[in-house]
Amino acid sequence: MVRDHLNLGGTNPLVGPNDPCGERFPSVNGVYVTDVCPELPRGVAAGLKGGVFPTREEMDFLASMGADFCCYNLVPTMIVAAHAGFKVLGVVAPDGADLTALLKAVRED
Amino acid sequence: MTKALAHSVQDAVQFLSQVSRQVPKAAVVLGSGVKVLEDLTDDTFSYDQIFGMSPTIVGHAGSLSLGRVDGTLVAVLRGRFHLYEGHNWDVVTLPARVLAAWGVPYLFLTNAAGGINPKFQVGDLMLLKGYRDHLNPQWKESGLIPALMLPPTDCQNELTRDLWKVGEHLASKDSSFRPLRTGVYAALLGPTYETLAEIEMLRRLGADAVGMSTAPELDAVIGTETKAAAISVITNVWSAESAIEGHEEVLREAKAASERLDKLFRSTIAGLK
Repeated sequence: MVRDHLNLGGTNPLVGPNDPCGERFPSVNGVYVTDVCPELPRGVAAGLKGGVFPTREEMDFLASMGADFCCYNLVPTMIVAAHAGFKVLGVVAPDGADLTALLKAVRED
Repeated sequence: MTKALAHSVQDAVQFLSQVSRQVPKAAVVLGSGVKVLEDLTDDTFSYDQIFGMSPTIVGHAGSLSLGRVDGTLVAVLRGRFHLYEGHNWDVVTLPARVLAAWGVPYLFLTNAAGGINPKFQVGDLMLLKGYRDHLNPQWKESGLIPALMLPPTDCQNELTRDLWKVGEHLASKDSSFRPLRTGVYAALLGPTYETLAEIEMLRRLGADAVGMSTAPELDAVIGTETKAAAISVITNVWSAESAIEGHEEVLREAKAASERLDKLFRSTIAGLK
């Protein structure tokens, strides 16, 4: 489960005139839902630019910067959701994983 | 530099040359909430008149005033263009390029910044010895990993050394003048504030403060005759032990910081050769 992120995409979806649904300078701290499913690990997402595949050296570097995993579309989506006032539940799973049981557990929590 | 930009720089320099026969010795760019040289308002022109456009952010007036500090002609620029507003690099760097093309020898840049260095307190003034550019549009192509792996850009020169000396002098004769800090400023694109994970990352990268401006201007005057120096006013700190009492204290500290910055700039400008 995502507990925080590094926006490393080189852009921000909120650049431009502010949509009045949220603040001009929104804080993205404290928006992640982390009080469910205590058995799942928590991690910091490194949001990369789409199509960028980090080398081994870059992966080690990102880990040294505090990142636990890399992703592409998650962080911009989270930023837009946080700006609009949503709490965000970020769940990261391997490709093709069956999330039925997990989503059920989240819902029960 | 694009052809359209060269045209804008030329237009703005022509306008400024018409309103002032003398080129100012120094220009001061004020960031949000930074209030110095407030008496310099005699000859004031809007950014719209000079640059053909205005900033969109509340609290950034967008005006250039000409006046004298101890007999020295100074331009004060209130407000700036930011990338997070949707402006491109050419627009964001336009005022700095214009000042350099006009032949202004000394450029003082200011900004409000978040303190990352745990020793910093709200109201501290940090003289930039270097900066990290995490907002350049070139990172749109590659993402930020290459930016993170670069060392900070050194921005020390005769003007930063002047400011440091004047700061030391003011602190030695006036106990209310808090000694200057020095450090590395990390410029992020915004408009979201940095996350706690990003703060930790920036701390590991050796950054002392974080904001959303100034790096483009410092970048824009590299290779010109204009010497630039930048000062961050630390408006919040990211550590529990130096957490402050409340909003009133923030305002009081910001006001006290502006007063110290005003003294620092006036003394430094008075000593410029």
